[in-house]
Amino acid sequence: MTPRPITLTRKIVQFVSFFLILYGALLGIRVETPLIPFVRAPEGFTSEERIALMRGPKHGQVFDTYIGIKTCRFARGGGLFRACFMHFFSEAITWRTPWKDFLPHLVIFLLLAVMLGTFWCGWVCPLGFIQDTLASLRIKLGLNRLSLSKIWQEFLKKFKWVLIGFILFVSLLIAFPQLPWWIRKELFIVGCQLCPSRFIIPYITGHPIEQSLFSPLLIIFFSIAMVFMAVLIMSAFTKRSFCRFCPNGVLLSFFNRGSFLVKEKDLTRCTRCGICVDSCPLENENVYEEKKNKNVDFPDCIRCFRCVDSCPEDGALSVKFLGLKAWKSKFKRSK
Amino acid sequence: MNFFKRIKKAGRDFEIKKLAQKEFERRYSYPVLKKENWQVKEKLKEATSKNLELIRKAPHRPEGISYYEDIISGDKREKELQKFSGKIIGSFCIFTPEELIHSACAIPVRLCAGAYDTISIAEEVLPRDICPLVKSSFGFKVARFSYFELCDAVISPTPCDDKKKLGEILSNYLPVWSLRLPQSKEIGHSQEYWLREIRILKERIEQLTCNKITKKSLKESIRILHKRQEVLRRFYELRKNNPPLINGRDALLVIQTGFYDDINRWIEKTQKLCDELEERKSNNKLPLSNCRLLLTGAPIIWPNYKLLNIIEEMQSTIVIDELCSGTRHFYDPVEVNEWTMDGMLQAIANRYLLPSSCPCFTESDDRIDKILQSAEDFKVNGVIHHSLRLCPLYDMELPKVSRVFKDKGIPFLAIHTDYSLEDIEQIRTRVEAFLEMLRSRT
Ligand code: SF4
Ligand code: SF4
Ligand code: SF4
Ligand code: SF4
Repeated sequence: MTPRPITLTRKIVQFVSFFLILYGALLGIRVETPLIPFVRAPEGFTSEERIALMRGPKHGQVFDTYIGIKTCRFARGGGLFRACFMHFFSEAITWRTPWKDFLPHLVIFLLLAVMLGTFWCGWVCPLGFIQDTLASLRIKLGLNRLSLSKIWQEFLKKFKWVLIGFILFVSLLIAFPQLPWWIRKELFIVGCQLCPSRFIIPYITGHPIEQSLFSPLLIIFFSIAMVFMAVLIMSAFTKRSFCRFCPNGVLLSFFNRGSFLVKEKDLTRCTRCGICVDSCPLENENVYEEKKNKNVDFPDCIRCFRCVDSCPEDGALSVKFLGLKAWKSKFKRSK
Repeated sequence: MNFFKRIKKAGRDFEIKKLAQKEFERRYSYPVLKKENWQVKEKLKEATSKNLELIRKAPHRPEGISYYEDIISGDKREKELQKFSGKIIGSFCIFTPEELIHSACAIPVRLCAGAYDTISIAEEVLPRDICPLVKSSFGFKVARFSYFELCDAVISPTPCDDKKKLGEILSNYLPVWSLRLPQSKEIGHSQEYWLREIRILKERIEQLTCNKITKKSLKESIRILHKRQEVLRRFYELRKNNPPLINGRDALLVIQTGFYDDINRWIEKTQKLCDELEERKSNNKLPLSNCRLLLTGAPIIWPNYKLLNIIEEMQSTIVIDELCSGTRHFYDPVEVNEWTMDGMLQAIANRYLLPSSCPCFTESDDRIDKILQSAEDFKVNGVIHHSLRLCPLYDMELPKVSRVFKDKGIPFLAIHTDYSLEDIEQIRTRVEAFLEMLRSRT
C-alpha cells in the first residue's frame, strides 16, 4: 500500500551485492594481482591442509581487503573476497603478522568503516540478505512474527561482547607456541568455526566442504555454530536475530557514532509514534526514545534506514552524508 | 518450537475470549433515568442554528463548507444511520481503533458532545461538579435522542476519572465495553498491555457484529482510513497558507463532521474542499492575516463554539488547533510494516497509544513538542489555551506549557471556561486585549 523507496533501493542493492560477493568472479570481474599483499600464514602453520574447514582460498578472489561484513571465505569459485574480516581479525593475531602486512588492510577497513559504519550490514552483507529474504518470505506466507522478549534482547546485547571477546582470546592463545600443537590446531580461525556462514555459503556457491568432527573441541564448536545457524533460520520470525550478536557487526558498530553517514532526528517533529521501533529489524528503541540529542546513531543498528523510510512525519528523521541530506522521512501517500 | 508457540497462542486466545465476555457486574443498581425531553431538543436546535448563524457571518468562507454544515446541524446522517442494517458502535475520546470497527462492517460514531442544554438533565443523575463534556454527552442518553440512541454498544476508554466512571453508569442503559488505557505510554510495558486490550476489543466487536475480522478486511479498512489521513494532511498543508484559506471554525466543522459521517463520502467531499482551497490559493484574493492563532487545550466540540466565535469575530484566525476534538483525532496514520494479523494489530495499537498527546498520560513533554512544532510550521503569532472548568488534566499542564511559550517569546493566553454562555463578555474582553497586544507587536 505504502511505497517505501529506501527499502526498495536497499533490496536491489542487497541483491546485486549478494550476487557479486558470492559469484562475482564468475562474471570475469577478476583482479589477479592484489595491490597489497595477502596476509599469509608463517612457516609451520599449514593449517589449511590440516583442517578441512579451514581450506584456504583458491582462485578467483579479487580483493584481499575486508569491508567488515561476512564476505565469506567459503564462497570459493566465484567469490569476490578471500575471506571476511573475522578471518583477518583473528588470524593476523594468531600469525603475528608483521605490521607492514597488517597495516594496509587495517587502514582500508578503518576507512570503509569510518565512512559508513554498519551501513555495510544493512545494505551489502550476504548473511544479512539471507536473513531479510527469510523474513520477507515469512511475511508473504502471512505468518506472524515473534518478538524477542526484553530478557533475550538484553542477553544478546551482553552476549555479543562475550562472543567477540572469546574469539579474540582464543586467537591470542594460539599465538603462543608453548601450547601443545594438538590443541592449537583445533582452535584455528575460531571465528569461522563458530560462524553459521560455513553451513550456507559453501553449499550455495557449489563447493561443499567436509565438516571434520574428529575431536571434542571441533564438535563443541560445531554445535555452537549449529545453534547460531538455528538463530539465523529463526530470523524468518525474529528479523535479523543473528545480527544482534554477530562479531563482524560489533566491530563495525564502533564506528556508527561519528561516521560520515549520520542519522538525525528533528526532535520536535517526532511525535513518538513508535513506528520506527515497529519497523526496525533489531527493534532498536533508541531512535524512538531520543529527545535530547539530534544525532540518533546507535551501536545496535544495521543502518538499513527502515526507520527513516517508515517514519510518517515529514522531515522527522533524515540521513546525511558529509552534511548533505541523502534521505528524509515523509508522510506516505498511496499511489 | 512451533508446538510451544501454538500452545502459548491458544492460551492467549482463550484468555482474551474470557476477558471479552466480562461485563460490568451491576449487582447494585444505579438510578436509571430515561425521559424524552422535547424541550431540550428544541433548545438544542435553537442553540445550533444560532451558532450556525454566527459562523455564517464570517467573511470569505469556501463554498464546499455547506455540506459539513448540513451534516453537523441537520438530522440527515441520523436518518441514514437509522436505515443502516449493521451495527453502530459509539465511542468516546480518540483511543478507539476505528479500523477494527470498519473491518467488521460496523460504523463508529464518536459521542463526545458539546451541547450546553443537555447538561441540566444529566445532572439529575450525575453529580454537578464533574466535567461538562461528560455531563453533556450523558444527557443525550437520558433524553434519548441523537446518535446515542442508535448505538448498539459503546466503547468507553478510561483516560480521566470522569470518563472512567461514566462507563459504569452507562452500562445501565446499553452494553458498554471498557477500553482500559494504560497510565503512561511507553514501548514495552504499556504497549503490551494495550495490545491485549485491542485484542479484547477485536473479540468483542466480532461477537457483536458476528463478522470475523480477517486479514483482508482489516487491510482494506486500514487503507481507507489511511486515505482519510492523506486528505487531512493535505488540508493541513493548505491551512499553513497566509492569507488563511479557511477559518478555524470551518476547519473544526470539517473534522468534527468526520466523527460520524460516512467515511468515503467524507473523504470525497474533503478532497473537493481541498481542491477549492487550492484554487483560492492561486487566486490570491484573500486578505493577509497578522493574527494567526494556535488553539490548544481541552476539547471544543460542536455546538460549543463560544470561544471560537469570540476569537474569530475579531479579525483573527485560528490556523491550527491541538485539540482532541480536532487535529489529534485523525492526524496520526497507521503504518503497517508487516501485513500479518499481528503486524497490523500491533501497528493499530501503536497508533492509538504512542503518539497521542492527551494529557491523561503521565508525561506532558511530547504534547509540548507538538504544540511548538505546530506553532513553527503554521507561523502563528499567538497561542490560546482553553481549559474546561473541572478538568484538572489541562490545568495541571498549563504552567509548563505557558512557560515554554513565554521563554520563546510567543504571546500566550489561558482561558478558563465551561459550556455555559454566562461568561461571554468576560472572555471577550480578555481576548480583545490579547489580540490588541498581538497587533501592536507586529
Ligand atoms: S565462515 Fe564466517 S567468519 Fe569465516 S570467513 Fe566465512 S563469514 Fe567470515
Ligand atoms: S551483523 Fe549481520 S549484516 Fe552485519 S556482518 Fe554480521 S551478519 Fe552481516
Ligand atoms: S517514526 Fe518518526 S515520528 Fe515516529 S517515533 Fe520514530 S522518529 Fe518519531
Ligand atoms: S534503527 Fe533504523 S537504521 Fe538502525 S537498524 Fe533500526 S530501522 Fe535500521
